[in-house]
Amino acid sequence: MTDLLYLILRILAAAALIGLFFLWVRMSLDWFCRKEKDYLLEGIYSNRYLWLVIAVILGIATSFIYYFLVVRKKKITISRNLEYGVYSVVTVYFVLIGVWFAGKALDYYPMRADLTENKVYSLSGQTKNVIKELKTDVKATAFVRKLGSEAKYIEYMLTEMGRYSKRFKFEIIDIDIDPAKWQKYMIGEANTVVFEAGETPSDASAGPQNENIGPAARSAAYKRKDVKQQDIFQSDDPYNPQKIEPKGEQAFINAVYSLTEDKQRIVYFSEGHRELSIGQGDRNGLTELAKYLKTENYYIKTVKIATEGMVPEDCDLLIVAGPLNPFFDKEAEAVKNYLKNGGKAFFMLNPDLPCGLEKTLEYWNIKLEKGVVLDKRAFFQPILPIPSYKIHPITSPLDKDQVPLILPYSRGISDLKAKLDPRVVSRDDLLMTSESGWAAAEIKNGEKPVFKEGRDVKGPLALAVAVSEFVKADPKKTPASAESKETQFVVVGSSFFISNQWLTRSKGNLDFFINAANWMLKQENKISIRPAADDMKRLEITPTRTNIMFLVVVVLVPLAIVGSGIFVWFKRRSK
Amino acid sequence: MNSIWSIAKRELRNYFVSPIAYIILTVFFVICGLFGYIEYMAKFQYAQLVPIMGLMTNIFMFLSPMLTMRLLSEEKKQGTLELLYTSPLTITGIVLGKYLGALLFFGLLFLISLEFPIFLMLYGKPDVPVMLASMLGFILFGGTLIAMGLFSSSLAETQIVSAVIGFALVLIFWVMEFFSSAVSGSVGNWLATLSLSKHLESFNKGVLDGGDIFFFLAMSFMFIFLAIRRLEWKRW
Repeated sequence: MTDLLYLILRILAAAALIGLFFLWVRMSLDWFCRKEKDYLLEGIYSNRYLWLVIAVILGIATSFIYYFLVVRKKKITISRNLEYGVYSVVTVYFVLIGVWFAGKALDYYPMRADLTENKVYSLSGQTKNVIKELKTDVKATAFVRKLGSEAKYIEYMLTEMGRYSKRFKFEIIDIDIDPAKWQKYMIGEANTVVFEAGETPSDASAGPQNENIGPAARSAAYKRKDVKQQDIFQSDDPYNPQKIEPKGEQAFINAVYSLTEDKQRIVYFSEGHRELSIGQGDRNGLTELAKYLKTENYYIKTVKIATEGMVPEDCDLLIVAGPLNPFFDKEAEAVKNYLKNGGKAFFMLNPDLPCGLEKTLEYWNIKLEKGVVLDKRAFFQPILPIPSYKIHPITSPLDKDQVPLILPYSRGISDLKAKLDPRVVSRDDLLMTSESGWAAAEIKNGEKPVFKEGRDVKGPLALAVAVSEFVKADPKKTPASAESKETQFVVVGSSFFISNQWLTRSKGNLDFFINAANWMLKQENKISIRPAADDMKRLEITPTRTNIMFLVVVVLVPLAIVGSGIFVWFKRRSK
Repeated sequence: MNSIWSIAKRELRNYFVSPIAYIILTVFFVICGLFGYIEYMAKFQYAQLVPIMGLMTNIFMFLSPMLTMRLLSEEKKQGTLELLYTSPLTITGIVLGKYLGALLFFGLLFLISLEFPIFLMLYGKPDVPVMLASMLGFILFGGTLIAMGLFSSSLAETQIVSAVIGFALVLIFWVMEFFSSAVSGSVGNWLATLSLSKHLESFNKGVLDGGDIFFFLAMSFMFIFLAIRRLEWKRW
């Protein structure tokens, strides 16, 4: 058995040696092939250099000890006391080195399994994409009180983010231990994370971006964004604001966007046709959607095209969310001109209502079908179809993870199939009903809807399409060097799918909308599935069940233990 | 192997003929039962094992020195260790047998504690993989604490002294993360990697990390090995 333990010790020692060897190789490669040398020459990033030195020293020490005490074990003659002492120290040394090395190695090659149902403790695909593709260095400094659970969560999330890119660095500062730094950054409250990019100004008290605090803030390359505690821990449920959940991932990634993106995209919601409103907080409003768009670092505005006479020039994406009244011809013309000029738009249209944009859409061969779509594959009722995904950058992440999407009260979209030569228009279906879906021309209350040949349109029907067309710049108007533009728009035959009611109910709806917006705005690294929330599961408790639990857990089990103790005691006494 | 097993059985029997086993189990389950029931099952009605597991690890941390203080100290004090030395048993066998005995007792405690997950399964729909992860964490944690206690028991001749040393050892490794926050930079990070509480954290979140499992196994190995070295040293 002693031999076995020695064997384990030898294996551990050998593993530590091999591990250290790989660490040298890796660090040396970093040193010679990559930017470490430049970093060092610039006088920054010395931490890694320090690790290299420590690794080399530890490695040499380990090799010596290994050689003398393990390989040539029998040949050394030292006093027994010393030998035992040395062996004990060596064991401790190997174990500590092993623990340290395992931690380091697992940073590079993580061996982790997130067993939670929603994968709460894994970063979402979106976050990983953004972090992996960082092109500038981003530094996060968290000012926390280390004993709080908030601090642990913040540290956990930042550590996770740091795993995916060397460009992302973070530091945790306990404000009770280092209050000077806290004051230097001029932060008012604990649990604030400061994200910085670019060259740090000599005066770090620059204050957050967009806030006019110090002259140093205007240093061109330097950007700073503060994420406060209320952004990290917030309520997701508009009906239950007391339910606070950690949302750090979303808040942090938003800060990273705002630092790394060259400009903030402006999203316009059309107004004046009784569309769903971003200011409306009830079940049919879009306040939730607006909240998420802000998290994705979009700037939100509204526009009345009738009064403006055109789509504003700074519009990056026009959103038409379920107009109940049709657009005027002039407005439709303005939208068409905007699109022809390389515009981006998101149309969400209600069934059986003229939207006034039919002619505009026909220009790209889009025909809006009459009738309300009914489908057997649906969320309880046929009027709430759950469409299947067609392959497209917008939908493939959703398809991969089988995230369901509900399109309530929707209309079909089909292809006019007119020739558009010489224009090159690509048109992709995104969402389809099943074979058993159809568009019903009329639905009578209380009657079970059935498909009627001739009156209804048979499925499968497309419920959402994505269109893109490359528009050559007009050589007369613009210089020859001007780049050609790409018109992109998405038409969805439903508008309520983005309302507060459905957005909070079905996660796929939000992902679909944001992915489509990101696709049109060429933010492909953002197309993914958004971070999950940890849903706290509850027991289904009745008074009887409470009593049973009390009886067993608090009374019976301890009593049984005490009882068996008394029994054994009596039995032994009577012997 | 047989000798290890017979020592383990003897140790387990010793626990149950003395009042110590009943005291430890009663204290453990009264506190866990009361707090677990009132706070988590009746008040917040969590269908999650994690808060109860947190409670269990904290309480076991205080009780483990009492569980292990006797293991080697008593033999030393009564002089029976010399008898064991002269027997055909190896020192490694003795230490491993005693460790296994304490571990079996811990296994029994763990089995009784399954009452909590059973209730959660009966009356709710807990996240079973997360539950299993936190149970694995508790088992590894218990094994490490017992190894620490065994080592401290090899240091002292009186039970109470070994209990105090054991408790101090457990406490130091438990609050290592707190120390680490006082030391900034790489040294602080390294200290944090030795913290029991930090490595237990991810189990309770439902995240299995190879590094955490390795940590607990390596720590247990180290303390058992140190206990063996200590006895061999004392033998001469």
